[in-house]
Amino acid sequence: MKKIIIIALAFAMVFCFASCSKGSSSSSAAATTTSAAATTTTTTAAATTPSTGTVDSEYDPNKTVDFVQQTSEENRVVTIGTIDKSLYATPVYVTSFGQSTDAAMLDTVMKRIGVDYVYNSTATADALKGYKTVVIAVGASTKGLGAAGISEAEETARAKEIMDYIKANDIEVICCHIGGSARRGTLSDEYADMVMAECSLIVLKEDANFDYKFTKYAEANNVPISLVYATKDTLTVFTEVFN
Amino acid sequence: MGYLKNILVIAIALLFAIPAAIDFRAMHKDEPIAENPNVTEIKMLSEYCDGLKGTDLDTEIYVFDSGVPGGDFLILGGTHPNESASPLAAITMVENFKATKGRVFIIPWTNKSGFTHTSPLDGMQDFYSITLSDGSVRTFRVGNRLTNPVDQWPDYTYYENVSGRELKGTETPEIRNVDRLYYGNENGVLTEQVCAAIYNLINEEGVDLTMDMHEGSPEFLYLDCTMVNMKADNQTAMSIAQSMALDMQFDDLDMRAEYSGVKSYGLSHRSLGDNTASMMTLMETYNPSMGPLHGKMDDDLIINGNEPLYYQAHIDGYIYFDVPEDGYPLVERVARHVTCVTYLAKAFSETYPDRAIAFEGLGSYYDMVDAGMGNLLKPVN
Amino acid sequence: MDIELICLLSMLAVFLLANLLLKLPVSVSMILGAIVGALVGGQGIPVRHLFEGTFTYVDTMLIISTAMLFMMVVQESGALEALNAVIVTRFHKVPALMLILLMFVIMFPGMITGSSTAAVLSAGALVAPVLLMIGIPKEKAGAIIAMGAIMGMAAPPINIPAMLIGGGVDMPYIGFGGPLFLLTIPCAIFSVLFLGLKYCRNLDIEKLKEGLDTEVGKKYGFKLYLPIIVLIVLLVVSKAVPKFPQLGTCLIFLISAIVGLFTGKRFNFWKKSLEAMETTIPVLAKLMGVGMFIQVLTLVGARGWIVVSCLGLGMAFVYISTFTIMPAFGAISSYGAASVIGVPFLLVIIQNTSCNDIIVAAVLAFTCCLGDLMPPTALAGNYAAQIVGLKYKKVFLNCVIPFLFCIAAAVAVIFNTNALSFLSA
Repeated sequence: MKKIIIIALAFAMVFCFASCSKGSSSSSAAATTTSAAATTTTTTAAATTPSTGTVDSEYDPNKTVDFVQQTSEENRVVTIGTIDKSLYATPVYVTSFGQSTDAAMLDTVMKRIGVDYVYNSTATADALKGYKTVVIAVGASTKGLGAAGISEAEETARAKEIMDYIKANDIEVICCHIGGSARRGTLSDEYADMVMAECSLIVLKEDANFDYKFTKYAEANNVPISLVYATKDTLTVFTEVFN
Repeated sequence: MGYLKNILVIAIALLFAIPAAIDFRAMHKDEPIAENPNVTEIKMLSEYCDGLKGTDLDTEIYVFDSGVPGGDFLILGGTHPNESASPLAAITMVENFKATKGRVFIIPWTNKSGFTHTSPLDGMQDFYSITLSDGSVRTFRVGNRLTNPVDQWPDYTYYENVSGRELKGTETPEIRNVDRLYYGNENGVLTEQVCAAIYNLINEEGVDLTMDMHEGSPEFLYLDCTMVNMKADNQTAMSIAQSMALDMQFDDLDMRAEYSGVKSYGLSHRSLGDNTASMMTLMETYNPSMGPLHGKMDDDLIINGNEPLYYQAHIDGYIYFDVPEDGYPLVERVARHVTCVTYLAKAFSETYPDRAIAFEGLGSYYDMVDAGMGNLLKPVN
Repeated sequence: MDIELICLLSMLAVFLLANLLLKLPVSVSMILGAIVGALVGGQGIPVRHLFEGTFTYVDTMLIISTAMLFMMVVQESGALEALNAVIVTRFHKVPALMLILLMFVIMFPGMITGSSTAAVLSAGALVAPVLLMIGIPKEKAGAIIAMGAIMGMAAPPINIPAMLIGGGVDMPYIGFGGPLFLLTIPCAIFSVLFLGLKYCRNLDIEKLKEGLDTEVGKKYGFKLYLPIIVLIVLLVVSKAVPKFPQLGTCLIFLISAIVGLFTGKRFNFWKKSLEAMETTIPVLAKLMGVGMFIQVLTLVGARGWIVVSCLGLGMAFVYISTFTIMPAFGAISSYGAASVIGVPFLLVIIQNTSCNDIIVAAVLAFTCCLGDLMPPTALAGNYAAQIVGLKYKKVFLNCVIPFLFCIAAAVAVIFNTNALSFLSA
């Protein structure tokens, strides 16, 4: 009798495993993403941050948002609104709010397009003296802040000081968010809001717009926004802006 | 009768033990590297730390001296021997490179002891084979990320390395991990002496730029990513790395650069960066054979990097990395390492023209992928 | 059907056939299962893998062997008997405390050997007459011994399923002490009080004393307990003081055992050591079999397949299985449950949640240990029933409520791992 019970138990377990097999294959079919030529419709199962990891993003990994992306491999830059290039006089100052590596990428981009610029990721307000255009890479990185030896509070204070200077001196600001969805979170969004409030152009790697935060703001405030498909496409945008 | 039973048991045990021992012994033999006339010198790591002489951890350093003044580039392969693309990329470079400016130092088996064993319960291959275009077959070892306990044992339950990393709790086996013990200690455990030798090499040769090549399991968050040390001149280092990343993106290769973790003490990019003048970088590619969810382990998994189980886990939303449905072949991972190294040298040379480093021999990423490993590797006798 | 599933099924089928029908030992059955799995998975007979898997747990085996020697010394020197006598004579006026202390005595050999069989056969056999003398019915006494042995098996410092699960995910067996104590101590206390307290209201101490060996304690005095004290001190100091010389668990057991040779009754160390090792060999063999089994499971991809399939079904399935299938698998082997299901489930949970991995592993190991109650194998249960002279069925029925309490405790802990993470520090 006991033997029969145990064999039955073992079979029950085996069937559990067998049902696992069916489950996984069906979910595979259900989760296939669809893609169209011009736009890609994806269900962003934003599980980009496994809980065991320590990436800088803070947004809910289980949050699912229907998101229609406007840029694609074929259509790499989409600009909504009209960019008034005459606003952006050189030399340009490039700095970071949040100490992510995106500012260093902007440094490289500026170097490649040959614009007259200065880059300092930890610049203070005084350093902006004499500059008419500031490009700010927004995006907080705990690694970057740690590496620079700056606390969140110090970085926020520096950012506020710079924004106050910009307001007082009528400097043109380009808000640049090129870190993608991984660069979204409470602190990153705080810096983005701070810069967007004063900017005359937003440059955004589009996957960060999964909740339409940036396009909604741009539309409501009549600010032009350039959506880029990949980081490298910022080169196209800035080449056009700085001619 | 009792004795007979004992003899029988011992005989059965030997039946398993002898072939297994032959298999394990085979891992102690280095895979041959094809001769390259452009290699100007082969040094041994023990030249930089006496304690390594005569041990399983002493290893070859292939030197390419262009004869043209410039900077020095150190490329570390096989820090973790189970990360197959790393030693293979180093071997591919050793067999094909020619330095045209400055000097290049390449170590294919940084933790040579790690190549002599595999990780228990992970079901790892000990070897994999690649057929060359001439029909010959070359075999390479898949080792373990840690030093063989035969060479360094036991693991202490507490160890504080020179950079301040405390190895305790779940980290105790890391006392056999080269990438946890930098900047090394000449009087420390053997693995730590490897780190000390590399530290001395960097200082004595005046190495400007170092790349430590790695791979990660699909769960790892920093795949297709280069870690860069932050120090006084951090902006320049990160901008050089971002320039490399941008170049790779223009080749349609995903790449990003990240700062070293503040507390990543003992890791090459952090502790060698903090304690030497060299710009430290570490790059990771995807390797599904290293992950705990891997399917059947065979040459195909290592060479073609095709793991449907990981693809499924990615589709189900559990794996961050964009696992390719058709796999991520070894040749692409090797080519990615070589391309990263090439673009880093280019960006570094643009920033510091007086310390320029240049080399040739392997072409672009797509040249390498089109050629395949069978053509990139040279026949050996 | 996926090839990985076919491999898994063939491995389980061969294991079951060999173990249940051919009556081969669990270890040999696992080896056969592993070989068949490798053949089905197209790996031939991978001698290197079989060998590598077999020796994965060599550290654990050394610890168990030395712990067994220590246990033998403690038992033969009279320390355990003396401890029983002291507990009953000193604490009979506070029956709850007396029962709890007796429960700890039952647990002790299991704690240091990681084997419920060792606990039942050594301390269980010594405490059983005491429990019966107190007036606890046979079936309840049997259940107390079975539960005590299992709690001992699960309690630190040695928990073999935790080592197996940890080994499977490259997690050293460190930091498990706190979570395992949290799980085992309350469950042990509940079990013994639930089963025995109502029979201990009016105890006649004089009658009890007749059945106890109070002489050995008087003869040797305090020094009888020296080996236990040396063991505890060395284990605690080597953990609490990181810079203390690294003795290692095996050496600590051996030092403590050697101390025990001079503190109590004299006995033939050589002969008793051989006897002790003879009872341990099957446990060591099981570990070798489990190592081989899990190595092949990984080699053919079945481990990854189980995890990915479970991921596809969602976390609810994983949690439900943890508390049902895992203990049920103990009917075959609790070690098997740890390696075949425990390792993949731990991977699923830590990959999918932000749980503290050590505490999750501890809960899984604890649940596996409960499998030693499951008939027909029911290692702890069958031996306990044998000691009190009953069939296991009666003892098993009395274990149901404590078993459910243990499951409830495990559920409570697994859903609060982060709040409890300080325990694993």
